[in-house]
Amino acid sequence: MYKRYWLALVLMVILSPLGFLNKETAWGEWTTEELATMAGFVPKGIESVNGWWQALFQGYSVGMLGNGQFAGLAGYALSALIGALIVYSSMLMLVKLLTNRRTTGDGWLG
Amino acid sequence: MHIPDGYLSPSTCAILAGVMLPVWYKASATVKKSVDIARIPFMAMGAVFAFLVMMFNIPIPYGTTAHATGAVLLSITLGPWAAVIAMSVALFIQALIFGDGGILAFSANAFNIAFLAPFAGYYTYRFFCKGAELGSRRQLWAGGVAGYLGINVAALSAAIQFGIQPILFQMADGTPIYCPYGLGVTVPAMMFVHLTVAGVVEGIVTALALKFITSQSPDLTFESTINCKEV
Repeated sequence: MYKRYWLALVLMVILSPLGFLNKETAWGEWTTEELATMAGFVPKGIESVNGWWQALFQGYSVGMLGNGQFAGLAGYALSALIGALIVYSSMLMLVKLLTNRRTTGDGWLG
Repeated sequence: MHIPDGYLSPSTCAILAGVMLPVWYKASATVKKSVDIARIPFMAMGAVFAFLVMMFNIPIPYGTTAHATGAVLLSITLGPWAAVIAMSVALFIQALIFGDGGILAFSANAFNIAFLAPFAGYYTYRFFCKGAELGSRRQLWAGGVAGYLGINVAALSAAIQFGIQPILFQMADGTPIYCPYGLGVTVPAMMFVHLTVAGVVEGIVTALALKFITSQSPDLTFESTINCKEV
């Protein structure tokens, strides 16, 4: 029933590296280095939490793949895939938990 | 944009968490009560869509980027409360696993993107699409306008959250402790990005996705949230 939608999502994963090509920092998401350049200083509050959380795939990159443009693109696409899977399964678990029920006989993929 | 940690004071984050707790509670209760089990995979796919669409960075003049959120699309197709859940999950995974958005700032990002955007978008949609035929131009336009408005409401909220920091939280010598830019900077900057580019992209994404859904899944178009005709 949802085959076309799955295809659309797969297509988005495959095309995701396009997002990697636009590497400019989004407004308000500056690193401490960028802030130091822009504002001339790094506010204490920002400095104090800098790097406190080390995400597994920080910035949608897969460290194992190494550095360089291709690794960045591949890591981005891989992150898209990994993230999609985690989000999907988390949603299923969460909603099932909420409703305390199972999905219909069609199974997990709808 | 996803607000990183450090830009908002702990008290700001706590207040927004305090607002989000009843929102999440209400969203959970609503979903629990009214979700159609057969639609659960669709809900989950919606969250995946939102997660993925937020990875497509769009270049903005003056050297920055922005992205659509899918928040309004989800609120139209799933209903606003289910969209709160789906968007919150997407945002949470983004923050936790990919460092996109802060952990402490999660409540702020959720407030903007998982609460304000879906609701602003949903009611805008319902207002403009009233009586429109399924798959009609007007329905799609309503979705587009709703998307445009929804993301801009979220953007304004984020701009305010940023912009009040320097006035409220200073060191003894007046130096900002958190976001160093006041409303005079944050509001024009955020609104420029979202009114000119991000909002348009969000609107187009919402309208196109609605077109796809209404043509692919006639059965879904009778959902009370998408359907604009009085039943």
